[in-house]
Amino acid sequence: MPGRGGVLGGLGLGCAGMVALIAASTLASDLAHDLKWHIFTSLQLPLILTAALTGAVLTVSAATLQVVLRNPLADPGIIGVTSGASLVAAVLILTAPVVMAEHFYYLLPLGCFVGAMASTWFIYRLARKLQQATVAVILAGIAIATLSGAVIAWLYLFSDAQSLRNLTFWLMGSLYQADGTILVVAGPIMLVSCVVQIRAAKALNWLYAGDHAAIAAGVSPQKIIQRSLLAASVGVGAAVSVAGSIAFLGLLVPHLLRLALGFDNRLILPASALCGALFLLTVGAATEWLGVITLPVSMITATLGGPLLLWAIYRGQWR
Amino acid sequence: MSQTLGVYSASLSERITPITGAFAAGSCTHLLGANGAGKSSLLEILAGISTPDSGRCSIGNEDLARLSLTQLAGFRSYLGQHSYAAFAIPVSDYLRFYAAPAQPTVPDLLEQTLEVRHLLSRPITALSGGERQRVELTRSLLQVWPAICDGQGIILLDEPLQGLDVKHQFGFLALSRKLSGWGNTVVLSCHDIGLSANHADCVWLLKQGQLVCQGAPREVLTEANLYATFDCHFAVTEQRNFLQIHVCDPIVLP
Repeated sequence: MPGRGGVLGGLGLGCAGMVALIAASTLASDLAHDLKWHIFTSLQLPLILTAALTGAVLTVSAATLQVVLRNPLADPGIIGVTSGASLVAAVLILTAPVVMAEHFYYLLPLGCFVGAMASTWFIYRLARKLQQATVAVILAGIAIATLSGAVIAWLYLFSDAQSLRNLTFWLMGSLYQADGTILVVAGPIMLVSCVVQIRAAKALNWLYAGDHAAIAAGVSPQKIIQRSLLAASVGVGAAVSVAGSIAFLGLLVPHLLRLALGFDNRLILPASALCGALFLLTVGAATEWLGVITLPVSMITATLGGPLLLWAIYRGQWR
Repeated sequence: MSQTLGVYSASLSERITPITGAFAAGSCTHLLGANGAGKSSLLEILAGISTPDSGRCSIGNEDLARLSLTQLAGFRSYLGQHSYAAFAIPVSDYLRFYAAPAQPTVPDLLEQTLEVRHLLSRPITALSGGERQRVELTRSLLQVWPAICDGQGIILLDEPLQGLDVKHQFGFLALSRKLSGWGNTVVLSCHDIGLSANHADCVWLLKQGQLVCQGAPREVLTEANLYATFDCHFAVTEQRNFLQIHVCDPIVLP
């Protein structure tokens, strides 16, 4: 098996290759030089940043949540963090008064962050209370997701056509919605979230044997869990504000990586981040070359992810 | 330089009423008492895992509360009663995550007594209760192994014998004496009075969060003290320098 550096280096090269592929789709065309450059900076650069950062933060947050909640099923989508964020986003899009429109760039990430935080906090309290009942946490997440879905459906009923179009991407996920301004706010947040979580990897390893073992090994589980959850929910909130809700990625990627590389979070967390980025960059490159601009991301992640996950479960550890 | 562990009128909610005493460096102390007598709570206080409501603990000349978790992690080993397994982590990874950087592999002495090397490739979720307990014991000792080899270790184990078969029980008890012989301070809780009588340097009898008495097994484990601690009648006999303790008035249900 290749070492840590080999794995991370390989994944990093893959990401770089995809970025080059996306850029090549424009730069290799026979458009005028100015036009090429304009398309690249105003359309493709946001696409690259959105894909890389949301992919990374969604998967690394899922990997963290799984360790922190002691539940291999935890995923921002499944336990309701994403739905909390999309609910607030939907409410803002559909009901925010027009005067607030110019502040939307700041309001939207903030709203998503609040939604993600609220559902994370709720899930965290529940998971602490029901130490052994990991299934209950998943069920509660499904309940939150269902409730958010229901509220969004009600909002649908009472909204005009333009708002509905704005909303649709939130429910399916899109790499093309974000523009420079929102990325300037959400991009650094996602980057910091990833870094904070990856830096906690060694301490996360000490959570595997329970809280007392973590204290004995030299780290306060309360502190490390709260810091990781905060970083994960802030990151997921920011990801939802730029790309909508992207299903499944977080459940699939860390699970496959653990099957292949083991359980050391010092490897799994950065590898998850790079794999998530690579996956969404690949989706981005595919849509660029195929010319299907409006491909909803969740459609792809779910179509590929569902069968892959079934295979992983069949092969893997949940026996 | 070995480290004596002291408690000074430490209390913890309703589980421990103020207890004072000392665990000498280089000794192996067994905590005995009925369920809920405060054995686990006392070990948690000593380990710095629970903070006492009043009173304090000391390690050598140092106040326990003044040591950081990172400092403690270098020489204090602690094993709780419950183990968790959400992930099917291979035993080798599980041990490596907690092992002291200077001791990434299972030392021969631990292998001779706990026999975990053949389990290294198995996932922890696939182990039997006793196998898992041996892995947990190895994990907690491996974390501070360099300090243990220097006789600087503080080893606190909550019911280390639970789930172990007879051979591994005796193997572990021999190990605990060996480690305390190197100068380490060993404190463990136990439910087998007969084993404690012959394998402890010192025993503490606890009842309802209070210390009934403590001292060398031969002085402390008398029929009167045992009755006061456990509410059962015991017969204590000595044969060829071996202390035998039996319940002599079993509880008869109507």
